Amino acid sequence: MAFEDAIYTRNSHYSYEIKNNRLRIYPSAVDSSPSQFWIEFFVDSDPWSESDTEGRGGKSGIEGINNLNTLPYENLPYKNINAIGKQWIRRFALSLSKETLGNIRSKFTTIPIPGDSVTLDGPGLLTQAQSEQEKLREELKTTLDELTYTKLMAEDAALADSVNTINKMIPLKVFVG
Amino acid sequence: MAKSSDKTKWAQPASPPPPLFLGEKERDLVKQVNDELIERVIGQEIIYYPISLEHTNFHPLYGEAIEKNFLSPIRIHVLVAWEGYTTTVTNLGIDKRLSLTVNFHRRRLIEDQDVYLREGDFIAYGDDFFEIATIDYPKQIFGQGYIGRERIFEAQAKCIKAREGTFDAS
Repeated sequence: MAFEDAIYTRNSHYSYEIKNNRLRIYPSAVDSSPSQFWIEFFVDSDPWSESDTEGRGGKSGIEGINNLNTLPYENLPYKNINAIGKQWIRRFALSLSKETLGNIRSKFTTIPIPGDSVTLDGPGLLTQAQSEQEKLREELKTTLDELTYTKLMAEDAALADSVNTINKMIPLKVFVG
Repeated sequence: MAKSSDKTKWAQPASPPPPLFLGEKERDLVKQVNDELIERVIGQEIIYYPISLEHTNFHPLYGEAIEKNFLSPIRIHVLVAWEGYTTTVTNLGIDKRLSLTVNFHRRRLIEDQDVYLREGDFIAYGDDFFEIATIDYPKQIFGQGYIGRERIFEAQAKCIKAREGTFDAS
């Protein structure tokens, strides 16, 4: 009782209660109360249980995550990607553009000009684009590999070991009795 | 044997199909690349002086005109092949003649600038004046036959330096 008294004394008296799908708020609204109330709520979801697929019939992952398709991942909006990720996307988009331009310019190896002919750089662009894309994929893979829990724990362990090694070299104080 | 319906019967189409690989788009691409290369990248240019027959007092018998009048000069971007001097030695002495081969992008010339080349007209290249001696059309687009005039891609003019007094636009 003393605990409840303390709660009522120190905390706000505003409260709510849900009973039989009805919301009771306290204190009761009076004339001087605000004319509108906003209620913030969310529906609790269990990431381990698959929600019913919309119109696709049934739950393929009813037993939880059993393959890549039932992972509770959603599309990541571009605005939520950080600067490093955006920069990677820009570089990859540039590389794709080079590939497209390379395909276009590869249609004709040479184009006639008065008195001569000019060779287009389509094959060069294609080679460059493929090399860049491979490099970018490798870069992404390396970065993601470094962020796995195993790698992070290994780095933490190495750091702790190094700290211990340094601590061993610090001279102890001389005890004077 | 089943009787074939009208839909399955072969009929002669009204016109032949367009070329699958070298249609209008491809010809336009060639023109676009040439325009960009010749005008924005290479940038060689001449001034073309079309001689006016109406305004030139030529000899009634020999057709020669000491003073030639010309229509408004036109600037044209071209590709010039410099051929240097040709020296000839005769009993009368040494003669040195400068010559050029001027390569025109014909479609640009006709469609955009409305210029038609003629032997006997003059051009200015640098500080010198040259007379067009011969004109040839040596190249078609991708070797296609002479179907339309636009397929002739290039005009080539062999020019020799105008002797002093032959032509003066200054």
